[in-house]
Amino acid sequence: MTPSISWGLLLLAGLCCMVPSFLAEDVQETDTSQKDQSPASHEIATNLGDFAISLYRELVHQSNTSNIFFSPVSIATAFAMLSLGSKGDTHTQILEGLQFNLTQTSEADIHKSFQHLLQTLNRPDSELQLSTGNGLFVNNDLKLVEKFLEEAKNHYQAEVFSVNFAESEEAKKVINDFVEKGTQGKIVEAVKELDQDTVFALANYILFKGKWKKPFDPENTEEAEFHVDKSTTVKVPMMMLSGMLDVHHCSILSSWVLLMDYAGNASAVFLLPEDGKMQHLEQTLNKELISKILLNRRRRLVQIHIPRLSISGDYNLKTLMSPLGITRIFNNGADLSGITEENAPLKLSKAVHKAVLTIDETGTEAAAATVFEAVPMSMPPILRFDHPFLFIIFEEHTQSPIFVGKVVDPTHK
Amino acid sequence: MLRFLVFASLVLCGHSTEDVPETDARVVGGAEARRNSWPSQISLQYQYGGSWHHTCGGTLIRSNWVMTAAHCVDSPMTYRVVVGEHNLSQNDGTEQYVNVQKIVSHPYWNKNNVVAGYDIALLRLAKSVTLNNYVQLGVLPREGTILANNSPCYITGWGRTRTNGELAQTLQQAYLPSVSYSICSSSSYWGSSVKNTMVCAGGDGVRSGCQGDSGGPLHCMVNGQYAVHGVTSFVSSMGCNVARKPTVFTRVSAYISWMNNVIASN
Repeated sequence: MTPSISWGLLLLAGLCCMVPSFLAEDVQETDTSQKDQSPASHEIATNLGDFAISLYRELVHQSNTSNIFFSPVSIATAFAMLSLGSKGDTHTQILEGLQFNLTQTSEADIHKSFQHLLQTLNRPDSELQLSTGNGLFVNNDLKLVEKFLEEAKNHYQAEVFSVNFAESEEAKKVINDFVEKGTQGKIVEAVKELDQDTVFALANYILFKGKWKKPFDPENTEEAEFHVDKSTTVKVPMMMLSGMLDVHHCSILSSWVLLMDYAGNASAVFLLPEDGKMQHLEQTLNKELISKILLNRRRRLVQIHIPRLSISGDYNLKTLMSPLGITRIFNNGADLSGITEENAPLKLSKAVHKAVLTIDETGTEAAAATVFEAVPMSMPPILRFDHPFLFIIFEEHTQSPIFVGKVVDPTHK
Repeated sequence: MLRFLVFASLVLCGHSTEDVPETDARVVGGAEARRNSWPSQISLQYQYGGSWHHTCGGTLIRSNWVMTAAHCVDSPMTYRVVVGEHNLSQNDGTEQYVNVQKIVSHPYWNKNNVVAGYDIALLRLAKSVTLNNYVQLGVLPREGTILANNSPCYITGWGRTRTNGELAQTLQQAYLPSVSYSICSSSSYWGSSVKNTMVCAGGDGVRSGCQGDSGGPLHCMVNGQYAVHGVTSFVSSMGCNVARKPTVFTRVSAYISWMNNVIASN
């Protein structure tokens, strides 16, 4: 006997490889040129900027003393994918929660932009070291809509597993093995428990360990103090880099701003607030300021000290997305009839997002070997990232925020 | 009049005799300068986080004007000049602190291209400093003067005493003989990075300027008299004391007219 209410588990550990193209059968999509696609991608970047900041502020609201780390691109694409299988309020809430203005951007353009973005991030020749994967875990008696399944496989590169959720330990193991394998062992036990009546689960993961264009010398790394707060100090390995870097002081944010380029068209923006100005920074930061930071390069002589760290994020997306207006998909009124053929309503009973990032000294060998330039001899400002700071990692072409993080205690994983 | 002439002569003689180096034991590879050996040397400092930080050296050329490097003042910070300074972290009793009122960088200076040259700026002070044994004007060379190769020169400053090391607390000096333009611009040295509007000195792999020395003077002896022939500008990104990568200075004698015009019109 099929349960009267089907429960869906959504596990978001990261980035969707591909957003399905528009599913409507009666609309024939014509190919657009690369040139036309680029503005659409920027549309998405603009929207994801607002989305990323809204999400960040919600996380700060939940706890302002914890590390924060998440992937706006990953969360947005997963929900955009779900929107293709949802209808009514469930559908509308998702797109508006992701902060798309549906009077300015057509839904077809939204999905096209996501597709283009994901193609950019997952180019085979990219030097970016992003690891992403997608798994659909379906109860062995549930039948998925063929169209949705096809799109998930073709555009989402999803792997589909048939599992017996009645055997919850076995089902849990299948999901956890998938994520652990895809993240090279970095994310274990992605799912700790499954609700008794779960029949549908989606797992995504994202792992990033980029190479700096301008690497740190490991010989310069030494132990130093990091001031978590006024009364707490921890010891961390502090990397050091001196040279012509993109650094400036932003009086609007009351922060020093550092840009570091990764190989593969990604950049990290580090924001180091002056003492007592973290809350000001968090309240003042907006996508216009970030765009200016990315576009206006200001190389100058500087010496930076930044912790070597591994940071991960693990969030309950129901708690996180509800304040953004995405509520229907999580309750009994959810309409996910585009995903399952069953008459019984499907519900997202649990959604978890996980992401992992390593920041260390590693750079591209060639870049290190060929560095030669004249260096002015003013005493460089010394920026010590020895108290809580923010960072945002962008895909350069689209300015899409791949990751947003706040380091409060670098010794916490 | 005669009394003045005698005084000036005494100052010059004293300057010459006191500057004969005893040993150069450790700027990079330099040694602590004797107090008031280089009375035209200043410390340029910027305000940040409620305190002042040394960033560059400079040369007092008028009682209310300082010559330094343009890259020293690229950032819009609040700057001050300290004259009569010896120990940055102690009260020597001889210091005078004065705010920078106006900054005039060379119009052709491009902060993204230090090897193009023009790395020179003049700072007008908010008030004139008092000249004494510890505070003097730097002597500048005649316009167009070109140093002979291997001329005896000293770089002075509070710059790092080791690549990526700490600032010196007391004023340092290092003997850096000049390197002619033809040698310095050869491919085994700096190549085309060095221009004729620059002066090179050092390059033995031991002694050099380093971060914190920028803007400060290169004192060279010509015809028995020291003059400030260089404004400290850049070193190699591979490190401060790299063999065949002499410390590079803006050549002061190329900018005499420009400086005179700036001072006259400001």
